Amino acid sequence: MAGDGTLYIRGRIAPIRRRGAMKRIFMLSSHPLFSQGVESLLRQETGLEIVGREADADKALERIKELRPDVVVLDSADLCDPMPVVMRIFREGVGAKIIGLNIQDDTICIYRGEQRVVKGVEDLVEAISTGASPG
Amino acid sequence: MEPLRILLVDDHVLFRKGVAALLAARPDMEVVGEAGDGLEALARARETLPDVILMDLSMPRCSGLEATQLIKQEMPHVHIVMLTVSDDDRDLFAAIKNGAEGYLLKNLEPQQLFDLLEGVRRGEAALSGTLAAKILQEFRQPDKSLARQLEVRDELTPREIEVLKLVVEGDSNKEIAAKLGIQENTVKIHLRNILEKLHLQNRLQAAVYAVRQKLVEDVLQGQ
Repeated sequence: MAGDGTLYIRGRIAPIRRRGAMKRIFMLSSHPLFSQGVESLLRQETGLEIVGREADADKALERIKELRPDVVVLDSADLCDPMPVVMRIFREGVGAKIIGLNIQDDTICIYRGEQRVVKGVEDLVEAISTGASPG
Repeated sequence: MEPLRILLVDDHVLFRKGVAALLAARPDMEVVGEAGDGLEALARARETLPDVILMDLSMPRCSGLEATQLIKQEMPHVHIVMLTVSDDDRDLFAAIKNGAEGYLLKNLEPQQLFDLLEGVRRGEAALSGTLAAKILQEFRQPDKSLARQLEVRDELTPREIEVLKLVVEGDSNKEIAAKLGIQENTVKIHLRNILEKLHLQNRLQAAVYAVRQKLVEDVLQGQ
């Protein structure tokens, strides 16, 4: 029936339009209960899409290069020092925002990968003073 | 079958909400409440009378260990399973002593959690794999404080000892029934009698008792 057909097409178009604004998320965690739980919470939000999940940092990096997500959520309790992994993701230049979660406590850490060229001391001073203040 | 009614206790909001979301997707389980510390857990347990409480260890105001003791005293039929990042022996043994039926580490797979919760419904202990070995090892050494509390009470029958040995090996009631060629219900009756005779609260304490009393030498040597 024509009516049904129209509805069907409308139904198809809408999600494709929204897709442009979809945030594509990749998760790196070796705590499956935690990461799959968080994943299932994020799935309930509109505009978010989980594109991949990986427990191993090396494998994750490969897939991040391939998938180019908007956001990487990593479980910082997995890594005694999350910085090397964070730096590797920045260096790959995929432009993803990196967010650290911790299974041990309720903290969220947002890593920023800004880079500037220093032309003078004022660039360093500006970078220092425009950083987020504590609290 | 009625869904298993679960109370989630954890101060880590994302973890708790995440587990709640995973459980909500299952028809055989229902999250009846959530609490962020031990005192809230006690209040929610009174209100909801859950089948199982999944309990974190370290929480503000009242820890999971204290809450387990309080809840068990008041509501002994509520099963409590610890779900924690701590693999510290002292926490494990304190939890067993306070009456917990299980002790799970937070690095498990969701499916493992679902299976273990199903087991708790059937009266089985929920333990992360490596922890069972830890319990056996602990009770190979004499004069441990928990072990000393589990003194010999009434004599067990040879059949009850057989059942107990299989409990220590980690068999489910169904597996024990198959190995001994008896009905699963008969296994449950044996277990109930064992707990009653030994004045113990649950299967896990019975396994600890069995190792301590050297009822299961052959199992240990087999390790």
